[in-house]
Parts: sequence; structure tokens; C-alpha cells
Amino acid sequence: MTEASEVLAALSRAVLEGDDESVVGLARRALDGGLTPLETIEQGLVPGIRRAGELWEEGEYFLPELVSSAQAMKAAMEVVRPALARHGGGGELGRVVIGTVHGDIHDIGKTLVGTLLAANGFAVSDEGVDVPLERFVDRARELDADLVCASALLTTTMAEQRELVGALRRAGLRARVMVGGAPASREWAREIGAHGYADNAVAAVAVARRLVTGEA
Amino acid sequence: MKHGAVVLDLEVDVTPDEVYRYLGYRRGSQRSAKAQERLVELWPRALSLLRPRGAYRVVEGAEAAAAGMPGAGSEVGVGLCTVGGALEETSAACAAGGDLLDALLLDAIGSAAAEAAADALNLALCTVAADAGVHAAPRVSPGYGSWDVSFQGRLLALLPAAELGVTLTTGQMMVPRKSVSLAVSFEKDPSKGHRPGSACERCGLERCRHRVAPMRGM
Repeated sequence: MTEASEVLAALSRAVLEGDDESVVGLARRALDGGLTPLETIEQGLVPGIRRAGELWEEGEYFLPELVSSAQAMKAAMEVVRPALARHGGGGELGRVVIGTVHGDIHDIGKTLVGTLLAANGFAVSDEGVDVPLERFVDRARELDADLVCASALLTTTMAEQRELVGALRRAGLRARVMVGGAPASREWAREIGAHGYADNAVAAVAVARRLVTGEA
Repeated sequence: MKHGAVVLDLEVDVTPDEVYRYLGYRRGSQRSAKAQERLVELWPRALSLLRPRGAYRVVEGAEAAAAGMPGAGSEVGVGLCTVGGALEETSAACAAGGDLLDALLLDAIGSAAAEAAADALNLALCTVAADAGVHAAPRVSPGYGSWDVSFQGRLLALLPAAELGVTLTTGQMMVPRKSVSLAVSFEKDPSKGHRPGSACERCGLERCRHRVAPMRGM
């Protein structure tokens, strides 16, 4: 095994194991050793976070392990991102605006989706909870967002997701809309004209990738 | 038996096993060393942030029915409890600071504590029922089964919510979030309307990640 492939394998393992301390040193070692930022991301970090998602889907990983992996990915990206910018950028899958709809203050699920999207290469603007429609629309316009993700955890607040789809459409924005939260469903997404629905954070990454890049 | 509200401090019995269940772990599943270490470290601080309090009243069945309660008996014990806002504020601060693992663990501790507070409040209502020589049916809450969450405000109007520091958002969501409202039908006949078994069997949230038993009829 070459030095480069050793570092990439160690990076994958560190992300998978949620080791946010050693992952930073490994990311520096990869760049200092001559790997490009994109190689470091695509052959080191991404396999680790993807495997964490697979293990979650297989029931081997649970939310804390998944979150630890995402945090390790984030820590490594803070090292790699400046180098990526110097190499002319690239590697960003799309721009996402995410928030919990007005009247609803559930936070953790939405934050988890945002964190996993960021860990998987999306540029994420997390608007927090109780987000008014106007703020979703303004941020989507400002960022020229590819995707707006709206979370609602109650039947009384999910109607805001429908309002959001209408508001984005009336504003003439190109952003696609993904909805989630306990009362939401694929049928609900279809009914309100949303482009996607996900019932967990790992599925949200796959749906976002499909909506933004067309990749299955 | 109808009487005014009783406000009380609640003893909550929160266990790490219950917290792990809220985090999605099943019995026997392997937990990462990191998650276990963080939970051990956060535990004393998290417990010190809990302020479990509750209130209950016994009302006419018609009042509970007007608050949307399905299958209300002639008398109903209604209750509200909360573990306060300090823990969830700390969790939110962790999330805002990028420490999502701690945020997640604190949130799960809060969920387990709120459920333990609801159990303690339920026990108080069962004791009221037993003292009156009637039986308490399993508790129900707005947002579960056929009780629409839009009735949350009407149920809270029967209780001293302000005294407990519980308010509602425009979406009928309780603040602090780690709060539980509930109602227990008092029945003369223990079999009437009594549906034993896990609350999960009676709940309509089929895909809930906290489900521990299948839905009735599935």
C-alpha cells in the first residue's frame, strides 16, 4: 500500500469511526503529501461518510455514530476547503436552504439532516426553527439555492410546507423543495407539489442528491 | 370528584437504557465508545438542569370531550407536565455551536425525562382514581391516535399551564418542548374502554422511531 492510499484509507476509517481529532491531522497529511483536495475528499472522506450511512441503513449504526461521522467529516472539510478554493473550487454538490417551518420549533431532526447534507458535499444554510416563509424565499433567492428543505413535526404546522411550495413558485425561484418530519409522507409531498420527501437523514441525502444532480 | 388543579413537583426516574432507546438503539445493539463516554460525562449536568413539575385536575367527561379527547368517560383526569426549558436550551446551544452529538444526547435525556414525568403524573392520577374507587384507563394525549393535536390549546385551558411555564406556539406546539399533556378516563368498570398494552399499540404514528410495539391490527 502506498503512502497516499494509506492516508486515504485512514481518512475513511477516521470519518467512519467519528474520530474528529485524528481526521484533522490525516487531512493535513494527505494535502502535504501531494494529494489534491478533490482526491482527499472523493477517495478519503466521502467513502467514510457513505459507509456510515450504509451502516445506519443496515441497523449497525445509530444516530450518535452517524452524527459523530458527520462531525468528523466537517472537521476534515475545514482543513480541505481552503485548499480546495486555491485549486479553483469544485466538489460542491449544490446549495441548500434548510429550516423548520413557522410555528414549529423542533430542531434536532432538521439539524441532523443539514449536518449530513453538509458532510456529503452540499453547501447548507441552516435557518433554524420557526422560519417564516419570507425568510425561506429570501435566502433561496439570495443564495440561488438548488434545494429548500422544510421540516414540520406536527399536523398543525405541516400546512406551512404547502405554503412554502407556493411561495417559492410565485417568487419564480428554481429551487426544488424537499419536505420531511413525522406527519409528512411521499403522498403529502406529491399533494402539495414538493419535489421530494425523506423520512430520515440518510434518505434525505440520497433524495437531495437525486433532486440536485439527477444522480440516483 | 371534580376538583381544582393540583400542582406538584415530580420525581423522575431517567435511566441510560431509556435514553439509548430514544437514540434509536435496540436491546443488545452495539453502542460506540464515544457515545457512551459523552453520555456518562453529560449525565450529571443534564439531570441538574431538569425541573420536573406537573399539574392535574379531575373534570367532567364533557369538558374533556370538548377538548377533543376521544372516548372520554363520565369523569376524566387531565394533566400537564414539563421538565422545564433549561435542558433543551443547553441542547440548542450545543447544536448551534456545532456539537451535534452532545445536542442529540441532551435532547434524548430530555425526551426520556419528559416521558418519566408523564409516567409520574399518570401515577398521581391513578392514585386519585383508586382513592375514589374507580379505575384509570390508559393515558392518551393530543397528537396521538385519534386525538388531533389542534386540540392542544383547549386541553391546556383546563390546566394551570402558565403556572408551569408552558405556552403554545401558533402551531399548537408546547414550549418547553419537553412537556407532555395527557388525559385519563376514570371508569367504574375496569374493562369498559380499557385497552391494556403498550401505548405504541394505540398510537397512529406507524413509522415512529421510538415505536416499541407494533400498531394494533398490524
